Order: sequence, then structure tokens, then C-alpha cells
Amino acid sequence: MKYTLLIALREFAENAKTKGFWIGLFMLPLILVISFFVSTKLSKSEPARYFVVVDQSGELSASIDSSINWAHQRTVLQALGEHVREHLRAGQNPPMDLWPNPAAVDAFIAAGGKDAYLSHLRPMLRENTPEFKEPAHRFVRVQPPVALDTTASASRILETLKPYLVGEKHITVDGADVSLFAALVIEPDAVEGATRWTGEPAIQYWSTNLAVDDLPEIFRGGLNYEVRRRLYAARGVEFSTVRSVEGTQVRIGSFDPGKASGTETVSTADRIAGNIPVAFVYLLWVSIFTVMQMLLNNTVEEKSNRIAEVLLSSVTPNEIMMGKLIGIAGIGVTMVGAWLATIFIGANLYQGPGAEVVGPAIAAVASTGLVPMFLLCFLLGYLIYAGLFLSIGALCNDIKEAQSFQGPMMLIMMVPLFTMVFVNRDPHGTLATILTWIPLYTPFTLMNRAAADPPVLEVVGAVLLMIATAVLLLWSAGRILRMAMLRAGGRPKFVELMQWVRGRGDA
Amino acid sequence: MNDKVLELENVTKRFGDFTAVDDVSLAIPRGSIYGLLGQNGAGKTTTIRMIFDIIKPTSGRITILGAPSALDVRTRIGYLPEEKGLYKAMTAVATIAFFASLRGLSRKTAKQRARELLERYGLGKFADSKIQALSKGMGQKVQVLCAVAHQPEFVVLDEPFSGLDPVNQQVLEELIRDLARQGSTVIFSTHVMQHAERLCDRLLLIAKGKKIFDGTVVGAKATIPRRVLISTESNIDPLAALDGVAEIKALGASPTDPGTKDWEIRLRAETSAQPILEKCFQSGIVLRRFDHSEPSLHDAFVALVGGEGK
Repeated sequence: MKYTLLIALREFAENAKTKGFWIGLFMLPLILVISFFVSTKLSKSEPARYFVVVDQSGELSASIDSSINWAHQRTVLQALGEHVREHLRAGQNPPMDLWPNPAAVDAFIAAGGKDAYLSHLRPMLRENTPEFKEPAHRFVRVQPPVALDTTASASRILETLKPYLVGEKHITVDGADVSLFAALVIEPDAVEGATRWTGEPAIQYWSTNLAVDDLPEIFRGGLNYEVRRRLYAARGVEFSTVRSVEGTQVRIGSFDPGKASGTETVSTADRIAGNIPVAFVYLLWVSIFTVMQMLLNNTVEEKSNRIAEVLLSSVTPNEIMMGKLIGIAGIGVTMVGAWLATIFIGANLYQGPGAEVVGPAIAAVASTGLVPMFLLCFLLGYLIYAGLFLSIGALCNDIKEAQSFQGPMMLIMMVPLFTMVFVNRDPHGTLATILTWIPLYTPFTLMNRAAADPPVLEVVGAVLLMIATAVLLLWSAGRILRMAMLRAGGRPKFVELMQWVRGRGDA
Repeated sequence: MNDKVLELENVTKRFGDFTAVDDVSLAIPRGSIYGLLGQNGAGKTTTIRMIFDIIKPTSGRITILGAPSALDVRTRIGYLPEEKGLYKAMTAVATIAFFASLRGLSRKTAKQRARELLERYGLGKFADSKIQALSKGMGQKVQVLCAVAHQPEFVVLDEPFSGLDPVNQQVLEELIRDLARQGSTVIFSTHVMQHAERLCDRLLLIAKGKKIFDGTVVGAKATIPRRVLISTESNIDPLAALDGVAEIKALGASPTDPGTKDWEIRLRAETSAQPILEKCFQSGIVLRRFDHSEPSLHDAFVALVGGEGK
């Protein structure tokens, strides 16, 4: 055991000194943090998009403006809610709904917007609370270019607007040239023809950017509102009544019978926790894949640099193998531990938007068996793949040869990534069950199914399968390592390899 | 205490149909410097690998420091393999300390010993350099130090001189003598006879997997006939009648002394060259050259391996 530990210590120390280890250690948390902050910042600093509306009907323009304003006020309410939750004094409870649901937005607008709300809310905020900054308008309506004849036919209007929409020409806003993002052309008979489904649509939305779909959605919402209002009025129905009735929300409580009696209510945190296994599968995959690269490189190095012989004069092949397994596992555990710690600590310290959900979700994960299951799957998955990669490393004479094996191994290892979303959606389905019983995929599939409480017998069976596979592969790897480490020249044929595994080689 | 550090009894190793080592028996006495000589492919490295239990013999028995396996006495033995290699990203001092700790030294002692050795053998400045930054010769010295840092009772150095410049070869010779002075038994294999001749107490010659000689350097030289080379214009027939002369061979006209001929006179065992010189004076043979040098180990090697090695 002493010699195994010495080998393990060397493997750990030498790998821990590599740049790859430190990059791996910090890269994942860094990517998580950066992608979170960048996406948050980017969404806040998104540039204003300018659009023109040519309303030949003369009846719908106001509803477009109203809809754009409503959407902006919803963003303001959302930002105000985040601001208030972040700076609220302990024990204070805002008297109004600050979540950006339709009724709350209507109430917000009716009350007079942010200034009115803030006058009520300011006394509830801590002393050092900064001023609330209203988010910039995402979509800004501008006047059409002077050259545009707004009474011309739709096709003629679009012919004029096209150079602006494709970026060849710019419109001037407050003295600056800006690109025209979209144009909405409303024909004279739009109200009557709004719902017709044949021929040219009476309302046309033009834009080269198809990815931003919220602007057409805002238009659609505003126009629907106005057209429906008119249709209700034509039928003698009070629209405010309709609006009020439509605002009614049926309340459906979600309960999980698997939870302890009295705590069966499913919260947002529970829903997040239910999806956490997918994140764990990804973490498992990245960690196993990373440490396998190290194991492969080290084994090949010992063979290609001819260190094997002097090692074998001091320690047995099994001691070498066990030492490597423990040392590299140490690297893997350190890396995974650092990642998990970053996620847990980061989530606990996090105070930004959604903090009230993130904390309980992490607590829910910590209180379930997901983390122990992750560690079990990591350990057994590591041993299974280590058996394979040790054998490959021992059989290759140099790193180039080893890389030729990496391609197929990578493809084999990609399957859990391709299937993880489907397994999570249907954790007891055919795909999940089949993958559970394929040893190379058992660790990932079992991890993915862990939150859905798979049958105990299946879990025990899968764990036993992983243990048996790991033992078999490591036992074979030990035999192969012993024979292959001193072999020079070409790779053994398959028959010879099988003889080695059966212990019948010449050595 | 057993005075033999290593005993091989009828050891044979076959790889398929090929016999790499054929029924070799030997006993290495404690405290000696033993040379293991043989041509390429003679079976030296296979023998060494069996000694260290890296590969198993097909038949026969090996006892090392009284144990049946080298791994049982790994803290008391050292090994420098023929195929030399080190972890390139490790420093010289960490490398030596690692291998010394695998041979039983505590990590602290191993580090101290590594630094001492690097200092003593001229690599002090490179102690904290990575192996990949060292020259081939320096790397090889580091590897030799890896094999001896734990002060083993028994060391095997397989081709330790290959790749070293003459100055470092001398340093290594000194290191081997130091080991012997400290009481270690050293076996080293080499192709360079001068090293063996200068260093070895005893020799083991292997050819085609078979032991063909096991004894002292003097004994090896004694296995080949002594000879005298002469150059003369005179008739040398009187010399043929001497008892000690086994054979006289004409070598042709002397290239350095026109008009004279060169002759090689082979002597019988235990015969001195003195009677030949006396007979030359008595018979009036005019000598331009009389060359009676000791046979070299190289001559002995070629003579001994000649028949088996081809």
C-alpha cells in the first residue's frame, strides 16, 4: 500500500502542477459566472431597436404605441421588483404585486408607474439604497423617412423602406444615424381584413432579424387587443368586463406524493431541483472526460519515455495501476469538489435576480441524495473508464497513437450528452431503462434518473453492474499493463491481447 | 549471512520458440564489481529483467539477497535499465527523490540524499531544472543517481556508459568504485571492454543466451593464447623447436621496415616470452621488433565469444 500511495502522490502532485489542471479547475466556474453576468448585462445593455409604423387605416397606430408602452412598463416593473427585493429592509413586505404578470402591470400603469410605486416603497428600503434606474426602451418608434409616401401602396412603401431595413440607408434620430430594425405596414382595411387567412395579409411586419421575435409579439398583442375590443363592442359586450374576466387565473396547486407528509407542495425550487440531474450529468461527463485525458497521457508517457521498466523493478504492475487510479482520482475529486463548492457557495452568496429561488433550489439539491449519488456515479464511472483508458495507454507507443483511439472513445462517450435531456424528461422510459443497463452509460443515466426516484432494485442492480464492470475492466487492464509496458514495436493482435488478459502471454 | 548476493540456478527463458536465456547458473559474491558482457541480443537484458522479477523465467530459480523475488528486497537493490527514461516534467531532485522513496527512503531523506548526490556528481546547479531541460548525458547521470540514491546493497547497471562523453564516463566509473567501496555489489553490462577491464573483479560472458565464461579478468585473458610479435630479416626456424611455442604464423613483409618480415609466435599456456628472447640471441636472429604485450580483454572477448557469437 505504501508504494501505491507513493505512486498516487506523484501522479497527484505532477498533474496538479500542470496548466491543464488549473485551467480546468477555474474554467468551469469562470465560464458559469461569466456567462451569467454577461447574459444579464447584455440583456440590460441591449441596444434600442428603431421601427416605423405606417398606419394607412389610421385606427391602429395608438394601440401599437400603447402595446409598446405596456411592454416597457412590464420591464420597468420587473426591474423595480428586483431592485426592491434586493434592498428591502428586513421584515418589510411591499403592499403591491411587483411580479411582472399582466394584472400587476395593468395596476402599475394605472397607479402612475415607477414614481408612484417608489413613493410608497422608498420608506421600506434600506438607507443606502441607490436610486432606481429605469431600464432603457428596447423598442423605439420613429418617424418614417421623409421621402416615404405613406399613402402609396404597401408594395411601393416597402420598396422605399427596403434600403433602410437592409442597412444600406440610415434614418436620423436625435441627430444620429441609426439602422431601421423593422417596419409595420397597416393597410386601410386592416381592421376588417386583420383576421383573413387568404391572400396578402393586411398587416405586414418586415425585418431582416428573425431572431428577435418579441417585437412582432408586442405588435400582435396590441393589434389583437384593439381588434378584439372593436369586435366585442360591435357585439355589445363591455370590453372592460371581458378584460377583467380574462385576467382571472385558475389556481392549481402542484404536489409531490414522494415528499414528506405536510411538505408535498411543489415549489419553484423543487422544479429547479428536478432539472438539476441534467447539470450533474454534464458535470460528471466533463470531470470523467478530463481526468481520462490525464490518465491516458500519463500512461503513454511512462511507456514512450521508457520509465516503465525502472518502475516495474520497484513496484508491481498492480501497485502502478492502483497508484495511478488513486492519484488521478484525487485530481478529479479536487476538480469536481472545487466546481461543486463554487456552485454552492456562489448560489448562497448570490443576491441578484431570482436569488429567492436559487437558494432554496440549492438547499433542495443538498438535502436530497443527488450529491452522494453524483459522487458514487463519479467514482464508479471513473473506474470503468479508467480500466479502458489504462489499457489503451499501455497499448500505445506514443501520444499520436493514443489520439487515434480518442476519436472513437469520444464518440462513445458523447451518447450520454445527446440523450440526457430525453432521459430527464422520461426517467422511467425505454431509453432510460436501456441506457441504465449499458455499463458505459450506467453512471450518467443513473445520475440523470436519480431525482425521479427510480425503483430501488434497478438502482441496486445498476450499481452492482458498474462495480462488476469496473472490476473486470481494471483486472484486464492490470494484465494488459503488465504485458504491454515492456513491449516495444507494434501493437499486439487481438488474439494476443486476449491471451494477455487470460494470463497466457510470454513474460 | 549468505556471501552470495545473487544466485541463478539453471535459469532458462523462452519467448515462444526463441530461447533468450539458456540454462544459466551463476553466483555473484558480495562486495564485487561484476561485468556482464555479451554481444547485442546475447540475453543480458532478459537475464537482468528476470533478476528483478520484471519477467518470470520459464524454468530455473533465482535468489536475490536470499529472497525469491526482487520485490521482496526492493529497498536493498538498485537498477538502471538499458532503456533509460524519466518523467520529463519533473525536476532532477524530485525525480531522484521519487525513485529513492520507492526504494524505501523517507520522502525527506530522499530529497536530502538527492540534493547531496546531484551536488557531488556535478549537477547541483541543475537540481531544480526539469528533466526535459537537461542534456541527454545529464539525464543519464540523473537516472544512475536514481538507481543508487538509497545506497543499495546490490545494484545492476545495464549499459550505464552508453551515451556519456569520456569525462562523464570517468565520473560514472568513479561512482561505481564509490559504491563498491561502500560495500555494494555492482553488476554492470557493457560493450566497452576498457570499462570492464578497469572496473571489474569478475566477469560473466553470455553468448546466445548461454554462459560461456564466469571468472576473473585475469582468468578471461588467460583463456586465450599469449603471443609475441617479431620483425626480423633472419631465419626464425630455431624458434619453432622451443617447447613453449605452439604456432608460428607469417604476417608478411613489414610495412615499416623494408626487407624484414613480421611474425606472430603463439605461446602455450603458462609460457613466458623470456625463452624466445634468449633463443633469438643464441641463434643470432637480428630483431627489428620484439613485442610481447598482455592480451586485452577485448581480445579475450572476441576469442571467447567468437565461436558462440557468430
